[in-house]
Amino acid sequence: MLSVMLVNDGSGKAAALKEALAAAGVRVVAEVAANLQLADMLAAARPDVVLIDSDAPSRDMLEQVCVMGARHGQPVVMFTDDSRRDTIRAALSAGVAAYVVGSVEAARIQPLLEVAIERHQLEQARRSELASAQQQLAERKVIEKAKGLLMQMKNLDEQSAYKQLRERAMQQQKRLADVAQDIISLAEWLQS
Amino acid sequence: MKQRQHPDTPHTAANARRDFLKGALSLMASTALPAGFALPALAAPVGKPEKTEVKVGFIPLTDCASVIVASKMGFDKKYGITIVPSKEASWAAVRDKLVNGELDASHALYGMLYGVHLGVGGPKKDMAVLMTLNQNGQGITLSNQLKEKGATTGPALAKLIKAEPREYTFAQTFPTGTHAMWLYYWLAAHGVNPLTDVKTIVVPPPQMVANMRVDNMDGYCVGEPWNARAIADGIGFTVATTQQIWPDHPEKVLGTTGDWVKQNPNTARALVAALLEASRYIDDVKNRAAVAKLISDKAYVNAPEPVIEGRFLGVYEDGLGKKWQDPKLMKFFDGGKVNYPYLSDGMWFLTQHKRWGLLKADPDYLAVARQINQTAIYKDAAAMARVPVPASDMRSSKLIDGTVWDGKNPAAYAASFKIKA
Repeated sequence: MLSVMLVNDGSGKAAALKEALAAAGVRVVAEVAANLQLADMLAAARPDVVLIDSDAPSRDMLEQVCVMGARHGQPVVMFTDDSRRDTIRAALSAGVAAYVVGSVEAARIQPLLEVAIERHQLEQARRSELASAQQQLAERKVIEKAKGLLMQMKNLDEQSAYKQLRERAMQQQKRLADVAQDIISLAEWLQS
Repeated sequence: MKQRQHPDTPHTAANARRDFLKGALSLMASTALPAGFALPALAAPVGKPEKTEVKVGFIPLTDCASVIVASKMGFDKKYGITIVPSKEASWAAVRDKLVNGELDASHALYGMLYGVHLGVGGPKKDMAVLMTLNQNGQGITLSNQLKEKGATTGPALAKLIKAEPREYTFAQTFPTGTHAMWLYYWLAAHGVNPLTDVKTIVVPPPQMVANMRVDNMDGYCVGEPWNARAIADGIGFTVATTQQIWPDHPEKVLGTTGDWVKQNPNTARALVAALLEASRYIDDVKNRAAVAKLISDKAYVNAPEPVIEGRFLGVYEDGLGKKWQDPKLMKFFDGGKVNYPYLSDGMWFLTQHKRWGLLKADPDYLAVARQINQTAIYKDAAAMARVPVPASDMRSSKLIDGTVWDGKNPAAYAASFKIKA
């Protein structure tokens, strides 16, 4: 089983991977905040891989460990195997960078990064779903308000008010919510 | 009908005036050129840039100024490109993004590009140095605790480390980078072995001051404004400037990959020409205050303008009461003397990587420098921007320990130091 150390810095994306990694059968041996003792913590936790936010300022601290480790016989290698450039690029844009400690084969790290990328995509999808749901809700409120104004001012029933709104939207080739917003703005101006 | 002047046309008043103007112009040009420099001519006409939008990375430091100025002042447009500056969080990210092609080029540490080219601490990738962005303007800061112990100079620090042994911790910014090399060189020049007598760590530049305040770090080497900031915050003092270690040393460069240069030679020329114009603009003293204000912005260096401006203008104060106007301040242009990618500058970093064991064996120093430093591209760009270039690819400098580096016998030079890995 691979063991992973998560360094919590920057956007916190690496740390947020914890559960997903556990589900994928990876052991998280340590979750640390980046600080001056990073090298000592790494030596104590002895992970196979270190995951860190790709935009974390303290990535350069790990670089020192890479180079000094190589001098002292325990290499830490930045995982940028050229043959897997697309995976690396995807992982970096998903916000996670991986450092391989010791002699773990690069191929074994691949599934780790796939977990990170997948998780990132899920997150993105959930975020855009939430955003569109929120927008729909906001639009419905605007339409309801405009409909109410029309009913009041033109003495219409609800169905006719809605029909007029829709016709106007079609004539102006605008979205229903935009026409509704125009009506609300105009009414506010007239009443002020 | 066209009126053409023949060589044997007798002297007329108009001719005389023209000859006088020509003489005056060449006199002006010759007095403005540094010794050993000449204005280059284009080897061949330069075609259109292969790509017009150029994403250039930078790390928030005073010496990223030319990237920001080239973009903000429109020097890029003059050469048919648009520079899109991209703020990066770490040198590791800069390296990865250059290697993956996410960045076209970047404000980069000289030694880092050489390290990547030779695969120090990671995979190998052919890299390229397009130009030097600046000289000087970094420094070594020591903590107030060391000041209280009387370690206010290099020799005094060396004495203290021997007299009161403990784990002395010094930070730099990247294992193969410039600050690591300045720090190691300076410590070694005073008899301290940076690999065995003290502990060296890496800390991101904007976090240096905060880390020294809380973590009992003894000293660090970093670019401005983070040494000035330590004094302003009352937590340390400047024990040495890097221009004291090597007057007019090369510092940041414009870096990219070898592949990118091959695929985009005209864009590379346009980019260098635009940055040369920006460098010339910044080095004009009357523009410096405005540039300091520009780069202090949150989107760029994100530090208080007064902290940047002082040393940017060469006004130094060491935190021990000494004040001076430094003639070797951070330079961006200096009549073109700053920017040429001297092969001897690049080789120097290789000699130090060898000295400290980052390279196990001597590389072919000159061949590596020739592969990385794009002197031909630079000369074309210099012709476009009318910037003089030196006749030689090497320059000679005397460093703080009295040794002279002129690019000759790099292997012997690397082996010549008493303190090494």
